[in-house]
Amino acid sequence: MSNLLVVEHLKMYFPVKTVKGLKKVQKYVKAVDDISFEVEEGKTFGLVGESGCGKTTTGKCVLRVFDPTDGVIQYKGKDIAKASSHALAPIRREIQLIFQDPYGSLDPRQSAKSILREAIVCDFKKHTEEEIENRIHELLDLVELSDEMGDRFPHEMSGGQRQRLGIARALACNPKLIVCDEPVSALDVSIQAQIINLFRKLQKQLGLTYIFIAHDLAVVKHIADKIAVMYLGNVVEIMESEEIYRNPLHPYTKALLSAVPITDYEAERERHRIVLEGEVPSPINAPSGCPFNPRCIYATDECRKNKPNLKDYGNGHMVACFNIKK
Amino acid sequence: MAEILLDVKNLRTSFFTHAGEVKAVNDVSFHVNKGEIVAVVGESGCGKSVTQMSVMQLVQSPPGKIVGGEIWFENKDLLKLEKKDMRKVRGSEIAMIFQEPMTSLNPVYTIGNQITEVIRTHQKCSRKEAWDLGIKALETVGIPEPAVRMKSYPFEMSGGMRQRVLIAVAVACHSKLIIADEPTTALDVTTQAQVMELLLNIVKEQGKSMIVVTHNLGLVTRYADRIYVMYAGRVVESGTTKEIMMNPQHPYTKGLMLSVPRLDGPKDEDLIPIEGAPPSLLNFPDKCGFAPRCPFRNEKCDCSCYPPLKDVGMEDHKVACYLFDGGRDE
Repeated sequence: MSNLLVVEHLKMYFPVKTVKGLKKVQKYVKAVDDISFEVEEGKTFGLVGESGCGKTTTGKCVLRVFDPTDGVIQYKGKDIAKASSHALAPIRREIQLIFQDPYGSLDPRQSAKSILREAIVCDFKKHTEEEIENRIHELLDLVELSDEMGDRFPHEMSGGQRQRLGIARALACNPKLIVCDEPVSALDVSIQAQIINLFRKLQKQLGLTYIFIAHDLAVVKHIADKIAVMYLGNVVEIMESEEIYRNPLHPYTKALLSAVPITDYEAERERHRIVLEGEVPSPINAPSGCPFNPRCIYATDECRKNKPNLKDYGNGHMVACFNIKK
Repeated sequence: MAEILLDVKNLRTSFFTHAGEVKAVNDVSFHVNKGEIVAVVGESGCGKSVTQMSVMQLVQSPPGKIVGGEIWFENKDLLKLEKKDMRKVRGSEIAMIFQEPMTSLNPVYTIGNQITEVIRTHQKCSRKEAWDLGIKALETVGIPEPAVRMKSYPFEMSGGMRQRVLIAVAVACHSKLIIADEPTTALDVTTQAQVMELLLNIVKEQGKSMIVVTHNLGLVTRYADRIYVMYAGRVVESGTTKEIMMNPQHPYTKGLMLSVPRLDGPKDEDLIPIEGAPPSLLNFPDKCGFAPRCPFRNEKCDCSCYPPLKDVGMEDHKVACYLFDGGRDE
C-alpha cells in the first residue's frame, strides 16, 4: 500500500511575548517540534498523548488550519505545507475533520438536513434538488441515522446521534483522509462502542484513511493500525498497534500504559504500576535533551544533554530513547 | 460485621419541570462502611451525581426535591436536620470533591483564602492558626512549596494541582466521609493515577471512608471495595468489586463491560455495543429502565413493575432483574 500522507520534520512554533524586567522577550511555544510520520492509504494512524503534547496541533497542521513553521506535509506526493490557499482548494475537500464536541461543532439553528446540505453544495457545482435529497438520504443511511432525524435540530438529538451527524457532514465531500480529533471522548461508554464500530464499518465500506487523535490508549489501540506516542511536541515511539500492549519500549509509553486502569479484576489488582512524578513541563521552557528526562527514572547525563532520535528496533518499531538495549 | 457509617434508604429525588416530573433518583438504597471505598458507576444522566448531591442536600430546589427516603449518618437522619445543623455536617463531617477543578475554585481569591475560609467556618481558630493548618493540608496532598502556593490564584495552577487543592480543602476539616464526584474525569491519565493514589493513601491512612462516583470501570476495579451500578435512576446491581467484575449478572453491567475497548483485548474484532440510548426519565413509568435496550428481555420485563433487588448469594451481591432466577449463570 502506498502512503497517502507523509509528514517530515514538521515544526509548529507559536510566538509568545513574555516580560522580563522591563524588556519584552520573544519566546516560542514549541507545540510540535520536528516530528515525522507516514500514513498508509486505507489505514488508521493513531496519535496518543496527554493534553498539551501537540497531537491536536499536528492534526491541524495536516488540515492546514495552521501554517506550519517548518517541514514537509506530502499529500498524495504533493507538498501542502506551503501551498497557497488557491492550490489548497481542491485538497480541502479530500481532507476532512471530525471534532470532539459534537454539540459545539454543529450549528444549533440548523436542522440536520440543512447542515448536510451546506456541506454538499459547497463545491460550487450545480446540483438538482433531487440529487441533494438523495445524497442526504444516502449520508444519513451511512451513519445509521433514520430519515426522520434529518428534520431534527442538534439539541433534539442525543450525544451519539450528534456525533453521527458530525461524521455524516465530514463524509459529505467524499473525503480520502479524515482527521478525527478525540471523536469519542465526550461520549458515554455504551455509546462509545457504537461510534467506534461505525468508524470501522465506514473505513471498510469507503476505503477511508483516518488520523485518529485520542488520549484513551485502549480506544486508539482498538481502532488504529499504527500508533505514535507524543510527549511535549515530540514523537517518542511509533509502532504497530499490537506492540503497544505487548512490547512498549519507551519509558513514557510504559508509564502511560500502566496508568490506564483495566477492567480485568485479577490482572489489575496484581499489576505493578509506575506512577510518574511531577507534571509535564511547559512547552515554552522545554528541558534540554530528551523531553522526558526530568520525569524519567532511567535518565542519564546523555539524556540531559542530547535529544534522542527515533531509531528502528525491528518491524518498524521506532523509539526515541538512549537507554534501550538491543 | 463492619460498622455502617452512611446508610441511605429508599432515597427519591425528583425534579419538577414544566413538562412533568423527572425521577432522577428512584428508590435508591446504599450504605458505606467505615474505612471503605464504595464506587457508584453509571453513564451520564443515570442519577449517580444527583444521589450524592441529595446526601449533601445540595440539590437545587426548586426544581429539585428530595421526595422520600432516609439518610442515616452516624445515628442521625440528615433529612430531618435543620438547615443550620446540616451546614455543620457539610464540609466538617462529609466533604465533597467536585468534578471540575476549574469551576469549583473561586478565581478571584487565593488558594490560601479559600482553604482558611473552610477551616475557620468549621473550627474555632485564629487566622494565623488556620493559615498554618492550610499549609499543612497542602503538604498532605503533595503540593510542592505549600507556603508559597497558599498565595497563588487558581489560574496559576495546572489541572492536577487544582484537583489536589480541592482534596486539601476536603481533608482540612477531618471529615469522616469523602464524596468524590468524578474526581479525575477532567485529568490526564498519568495525573489521574497520581490523584487516585493520593486519595487512596489519605483514606487508608486517616481511616476515612470514600464514595467515588465515576463512569470509568477500570478506575473502579483498581480502587473500590464495593460497587453500585446505576441505570435510569435506580441501582441495578451491587456487590463487592470482585463479584461484580468477575461475575456480573445484570444485562446492563454485562453489556457495559463488553462495550469497553480493552488494552489486552484482540484487535480486528468489533466491539459489542449496547444498542440504543438511555431513556429520558421524564414521566418514566415504574418498570425496568433497561428493558428497551436489553437483548434478553421478555414479556415480563415490558409490562410488570420494577424488578426488586434480589440476592445472588455471594458476598452481598444483589441484582434487579426479572431474568435472574436464582441460579448463577456463567
